[in-house]
Amino acid sequence: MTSRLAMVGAIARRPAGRAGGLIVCIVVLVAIAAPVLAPHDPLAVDLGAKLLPPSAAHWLGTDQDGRDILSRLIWGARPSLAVGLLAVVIGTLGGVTLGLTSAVIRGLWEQVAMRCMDGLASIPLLIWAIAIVGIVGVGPVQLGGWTLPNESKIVLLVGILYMPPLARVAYGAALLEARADYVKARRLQGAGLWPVMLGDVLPNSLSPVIVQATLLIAVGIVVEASLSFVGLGVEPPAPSWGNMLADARQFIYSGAWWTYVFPGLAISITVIGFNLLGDALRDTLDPRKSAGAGRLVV
Amino acid sequence: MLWAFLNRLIGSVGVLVMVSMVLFALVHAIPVSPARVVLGMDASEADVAEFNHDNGLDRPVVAQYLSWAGNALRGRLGRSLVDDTAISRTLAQTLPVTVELVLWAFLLALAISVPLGIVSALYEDRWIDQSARAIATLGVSIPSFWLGLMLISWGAIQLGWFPAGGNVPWTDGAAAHLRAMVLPAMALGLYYVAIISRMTRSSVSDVLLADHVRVSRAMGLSRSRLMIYVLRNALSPIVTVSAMSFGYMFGWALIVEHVFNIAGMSRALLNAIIRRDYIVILDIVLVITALFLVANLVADMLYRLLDPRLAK
Amino acid sequence: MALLEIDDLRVGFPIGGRMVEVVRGVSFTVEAGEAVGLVGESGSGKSQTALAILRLLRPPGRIVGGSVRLNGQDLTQADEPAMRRLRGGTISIVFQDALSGLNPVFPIGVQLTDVVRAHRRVSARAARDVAVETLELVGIRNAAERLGQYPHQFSGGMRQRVLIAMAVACRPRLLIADEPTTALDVTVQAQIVTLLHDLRRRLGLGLLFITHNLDLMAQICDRAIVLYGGMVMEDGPVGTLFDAPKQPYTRALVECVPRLSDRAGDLQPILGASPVPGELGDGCPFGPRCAMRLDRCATQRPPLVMWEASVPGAPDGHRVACWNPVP
Repeated sequence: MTSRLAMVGAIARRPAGRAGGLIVCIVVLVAIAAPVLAPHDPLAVDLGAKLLPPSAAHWLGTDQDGRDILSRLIWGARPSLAVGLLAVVIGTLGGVTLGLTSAVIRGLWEQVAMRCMDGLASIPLLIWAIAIVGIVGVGPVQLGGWTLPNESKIVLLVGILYMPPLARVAYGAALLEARADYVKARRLQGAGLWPVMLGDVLPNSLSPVIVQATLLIAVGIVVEASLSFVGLGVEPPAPSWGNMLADARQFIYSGAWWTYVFPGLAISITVIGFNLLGDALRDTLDPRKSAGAGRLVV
Repeated sequence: MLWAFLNRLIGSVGVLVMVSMVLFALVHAIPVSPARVVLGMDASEADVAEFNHDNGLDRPVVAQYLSWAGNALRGRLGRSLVDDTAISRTLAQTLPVTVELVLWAFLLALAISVPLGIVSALYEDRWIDQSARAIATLGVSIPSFWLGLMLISWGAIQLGWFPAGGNVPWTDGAAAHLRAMVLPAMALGLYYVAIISRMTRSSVSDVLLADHVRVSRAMGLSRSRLMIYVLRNALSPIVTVSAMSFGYMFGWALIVEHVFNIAGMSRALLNAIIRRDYIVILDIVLVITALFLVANLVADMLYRLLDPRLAK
Repeated sequence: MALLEIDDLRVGFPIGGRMVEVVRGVSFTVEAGEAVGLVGESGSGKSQTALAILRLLRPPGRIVGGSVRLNGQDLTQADEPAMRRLRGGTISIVFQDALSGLNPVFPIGVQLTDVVRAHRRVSARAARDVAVETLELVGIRNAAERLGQYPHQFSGGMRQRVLIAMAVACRPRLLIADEPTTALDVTVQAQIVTLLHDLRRRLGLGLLFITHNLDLMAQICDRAIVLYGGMVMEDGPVGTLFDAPKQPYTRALVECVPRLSDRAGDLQPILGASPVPGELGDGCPFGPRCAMRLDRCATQRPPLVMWEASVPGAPDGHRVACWNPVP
């Protein structure tokens, strides 16, 4: 317990960690508090107020349908964070399970699991995402009598695609831990496989996983925004930072800068926040890793 | 060496086959059949059956896959189910465009990252290193499509130095063509400038601390000779990351092409997606996958070539 | 004039706002052609002294006082290009990292010829000839064929020979060997020491042999300097140091080396722990562990004084730093 507090303290001491942590907290709070925070209804069309620059009534201006950009921005945090966070949760659960069990059980399971992960990782995440969404279709998916909502589809897809990098990291860390003398000692004393795996190997393998997961949150936000931008993600009129930029594309010629600057800034700042946090975590937990390697996933 | 190459090649082919199977299966697992997409949801059963028969869609899935695969290997990638154009023709027109964009972005990224990384390592913690670190954090965080939009807004509309998008073929003049490549290359490349420069910095930093560098200094070698020793040692990870980045760029190129209205593979792919033109989607994705696998293969081989301990 | 004259050398690292000295006023000489051992435990400052001579200290460590004269020229005042000319050319150093000291991605021939061409204006062919000749000198057979090979194709002992070859290729006047055998097998250790002895004889090299292994040092050195806590404790002929050491530390060192003739239970360790740089007081650094300590040992640092002015084989005589030397 003390080491976790010490960890938080170490991160808070770094300016990058503080800045990152602050940004992340703010964005998460904004997303959660959207219904209360947003001054206007994000879907409320007001054709008389089209493309108004920032003003007292609309702090960040209005878009081509007269909708308040600030409100859409606030609500738009939800799909971005949903994909970012939930996908990482799915990826971590699946990836750590596969990686950990592979490292401890070894044998055939290890071969099969790791090869599947290699297969999944063999082409870039974005290409898988575009291909699968492209084939399965934009919008909710009908599976028998059951409908999978659009956002859930994307979260699930990215989550599964996150399993390989997280499994790799968990596998590598668990392999090292499993070789450690204290684990051998415990096994010799008669401790069962599962208690050792969950009680000893898992907690000590988590550090690099946490670092990778945080960086993947940042990646997820950009992936969601990119998919929405090309029309494969969140469908309008529901706001997503990505589809707001898709709508705003035409206005770079006509000078309505507020339509495309703010959503992009929102994405960038959020991603910077997670990246700074991830960097601070890495410096605290896993200082030897090089700074560039963990991000070449997508 | 040859064995390693063949080994990797077979692995890559295996991956290609696996991906094609997965996607093919997915195409046939979704509820809306191509027939209904083309003919409309109200088409009669008879029309649907006729369409399916004409296009071989009423055979078992495995048979369809094998026949598609067989044709693909012979270069006959089929025809679009929607507008009946030959897919190979579409690819022949769009593939070079995308590859060229990725090449420019890659070269630009390398030209900036490697010197930046080296200087950052040599002058650790000084202002150049701090700035490089800041640029890297930004580069990795700013989405390429938004960067593209902002670049168009400044570079093309406000400053007027560059075109706002679209294709400018070589036949319009080299200068015009290259000017049209600048903004898209920057938008695509910044992310990888961040990654490659950081990798360069850490690789060079590590080598500078190595025992053999201390020995070289102790032998009185000149600064330039020492630099050559250091860089040659630092090369491997940089080359690996760079070659892999080249592969990953193809994914983001699709997005950047869309921003800049470049008629590369992205347009063909996105159109195909909208029109539910499955075979086109399949073929284009597989071509991109193949490009990515080739990039990785090259990365692997270069790594082996560069390390004498492996190049047996 | 001695080949190498070190006078009150001080080396320190700025840590936490103050300068922590690891070499605290070391003085000794090495005559041309002489083999001198520099003996001490880890942390005694012997490696830092060697690095300081060649100005290869890793920043932020630096020389904070004293002088290092090579044939009269003060190296502490020389600029970097002058030092580069000297390193590998007039003074060379061989480190203990035999396994990692050679660059893994260049053939040894290239690494050797690069050293030669850094110091001599010769053609590539001539440099190559020197390389082959030097490799043969250090006992590597089929030298000409092996020039194109990479370090990983050589064993540990062979790699150390190659490193020695690099160090002597330009016939330096002084070779500093910093624990050259520590990372090697015992059998190989003897071979390397024999090689150094041989080279000394054939090339007329002066040798500064840095080690913590007294026996190894005794095989090759005429004179030895005992270092402790960044200071010279004793400086004299090897024979005298073994038979009649005057400094209690030297005696303890000699006594704690196990001998075949010892019976079970005869091991005599030196009680206590090595001093930590920066935490040394004003007195003798060995005081806390010394069986013969006096009160003044805790507060006053003993100066290095001449014990016997002229001893055969030691032009500098025998010097001791102790308030209460061994009778």
